[in-house]
Amino acid sequence: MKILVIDREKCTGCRRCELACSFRHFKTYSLARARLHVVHTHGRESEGPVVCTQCGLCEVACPVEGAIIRKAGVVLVTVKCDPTKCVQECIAACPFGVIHFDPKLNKMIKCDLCGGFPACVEACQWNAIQYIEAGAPYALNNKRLIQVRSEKVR
Amino acid sequence: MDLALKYGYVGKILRVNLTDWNIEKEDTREDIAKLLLGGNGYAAKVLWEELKPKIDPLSPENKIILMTGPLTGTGAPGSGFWEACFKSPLTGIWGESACGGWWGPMLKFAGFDGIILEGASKDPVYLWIHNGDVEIKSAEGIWGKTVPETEEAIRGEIGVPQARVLSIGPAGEKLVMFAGIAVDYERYAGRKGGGASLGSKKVKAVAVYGEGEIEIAKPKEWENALRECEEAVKKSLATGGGYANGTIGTYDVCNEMGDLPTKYGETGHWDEVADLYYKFSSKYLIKNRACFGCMQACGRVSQVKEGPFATPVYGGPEYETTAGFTAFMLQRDIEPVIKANYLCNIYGLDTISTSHVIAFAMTCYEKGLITKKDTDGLEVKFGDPNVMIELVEKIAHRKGFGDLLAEGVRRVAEKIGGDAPKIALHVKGLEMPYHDPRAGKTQAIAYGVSNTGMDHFHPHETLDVECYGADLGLIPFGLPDPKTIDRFSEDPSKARIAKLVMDYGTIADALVVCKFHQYVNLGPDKYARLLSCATGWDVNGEKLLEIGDRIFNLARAFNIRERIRRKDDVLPPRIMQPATTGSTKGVGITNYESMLNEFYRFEEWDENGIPNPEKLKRLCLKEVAEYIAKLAGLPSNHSKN
Repeated sequence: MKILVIDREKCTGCRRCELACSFRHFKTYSLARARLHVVHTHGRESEGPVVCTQCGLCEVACPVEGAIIRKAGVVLVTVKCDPTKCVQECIAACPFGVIHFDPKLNKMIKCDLCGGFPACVEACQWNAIQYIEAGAPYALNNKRLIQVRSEKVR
Repeated sequence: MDLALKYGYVGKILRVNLTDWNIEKEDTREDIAKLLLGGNGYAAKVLWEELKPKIDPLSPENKIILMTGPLTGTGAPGSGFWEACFKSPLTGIWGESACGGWWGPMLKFAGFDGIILEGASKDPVYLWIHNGDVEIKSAEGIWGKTVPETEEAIRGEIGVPQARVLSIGPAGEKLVMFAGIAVDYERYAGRKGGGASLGSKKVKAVAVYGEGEIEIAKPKEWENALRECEEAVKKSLATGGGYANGTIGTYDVCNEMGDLPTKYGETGHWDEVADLYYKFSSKYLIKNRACFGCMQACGRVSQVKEGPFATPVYGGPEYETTAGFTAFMLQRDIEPVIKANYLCNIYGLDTISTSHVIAFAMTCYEKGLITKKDTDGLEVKFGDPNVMIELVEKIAHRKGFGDLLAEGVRRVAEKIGGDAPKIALHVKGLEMPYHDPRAGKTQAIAYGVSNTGMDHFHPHETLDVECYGADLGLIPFGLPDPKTIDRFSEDPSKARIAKLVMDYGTIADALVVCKFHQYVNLGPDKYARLLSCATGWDVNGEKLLEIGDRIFNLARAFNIRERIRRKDDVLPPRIMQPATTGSTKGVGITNYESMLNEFYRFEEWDENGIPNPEKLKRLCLKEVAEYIAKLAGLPSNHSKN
């Protein structure tokens, strides 16, 4: 199973991932309807995308039978989702804040990995978001990051 | 068609009268949008209709328009831009300034294509715009704060950390004539004194946040067009095109080409800073940062960790800043540049004009036109980093000598008198930026006829074509192969190159997208396709260039109304003299007049630089044509030919 992995140091803060996400799903551009977001620390050193890790805590928290299900490793919101039947426990349960209510659809939206071809990964030319096999070793090939970490260890 | 502006645009313009705090939400006018798109085109039309001629730019009668365009906030490459348009306090004529960041798209997501600010408030205020709602709030508590402090304070007060804030610093409040408008800490609509305009209206900031969406008329076609554009950009970046090294990455190349104005424009090359970019990137560069929707990430984040010039982590410096604070004033080190850049950014100063007036003061001091008596006892010698930093502080707070310098180089030169006006490098009152027209002669025309003054970015930097070989995708539209152009030639045919590049540059400010993305294999056709798919209109590259022509002529007409004529389209003598070092050694500008004549002929302007009413009519600017015809004392059916 493949998941999204981020390399914060490579992120430039352009938010093309968010644009691509909202366009892939809704054919419009909206930051509020994107299923991931870029945290941008104003004026400071870093920015970085926050993506769904498919951890499934929303699925565990959801009180509505069959509203959030796990299918082939991907946690999906189904048509059974009805925010009137709950107090949106999924939002509280999400550690990354990447599941939210969409007023136009009248249900929750979260990352569905675009059926295996994530738009955000295609949009990120800096490779700050990668789509790789879960558990596989991957290189944060950024010399500065490694340096900073080794300094801290010492 | 009532839904015509549903796509690409969000369809509403916010009009705020600050005198009586009246807020109006009007429809984005389709008649203007179809002729002139958005950004500078839309604003030019509104200001043409609504501003009376010859008003004082700092009076409540002036209006400031903050505009986005049909491609802002979409997935188009470089879609994070916005435009500030106003009558400039620095030059007294048409003023426009483009800026990136994340504010422009957020304004569209908040439900507005643009904001028209008119009147003037008695007390300091800021605007808070969220999801179509607008509040005018007191800025009493934040008046006087620097740009980062203002942003933090406002985000705290409104309680929305994702909100994007446009603001002015203390320099704007004190009406420093070249104060800029900041967004997101480090992005600036810096030039022409937009900050002073906002300061005169007592508007400290405009905070925006929105959860709206921008709809695309033909999503399927858009997707294909966008993919094509993205591929083109990636391909170009992979082969070294664009600004992958940031604007400061071009520093060493500019130096080599004689394109780095040195010692207040005496020459175009300085040996002592030959490896400045290397020094910067190896020691002070922290990371690259992109504006919204950008594919190049030309922004730089840097820091000086210790020493007298220590700064916090901050954006910049860009090429222009670095050139201004180094070679232009014979200053060798990068550390003071980073410090000066940081100070300009937090105080809300335009780094180009700030470094320019400091270098001008140094020149006057060297020539004995000013003495220690005028400069508060400072020895304003070339190359002294400490004096430079002190003058930045003084200008920002209009203290002592800084109060004079804050007026901009034209007024400073008039005040100093003697030979000073002959030395001052400006066109129409706007200080020269740091590209040397001797290194590529089309730039001389662009500087001369630009509607904003001596400006490298409006409409476009034409040097890139002849000096650096960028074709901008304009070859199908009549641009000769850049490799075949002799950059030192002053053949009148260069007027055609200038015109083409300038029209193309104007479009970027109307669509409103980042101009740097024009360097990466996108041509008018690709932009036209994106625009067609986004809005559902039928536009091609030719039509797009015609829109550029239309906007350029409309802004020219605005300036004609402000009594700009041919006498104002001249270059300062100092920059025409032969350079003394580097690859442009011995090269001066000798044939400017004939290039200008050719440009006029091309534009169909008369010998006074007044546009031809017939041409304006052809460009569907009927009422403008009528005004110009009356002004020139010609019958409205007059034709030059």
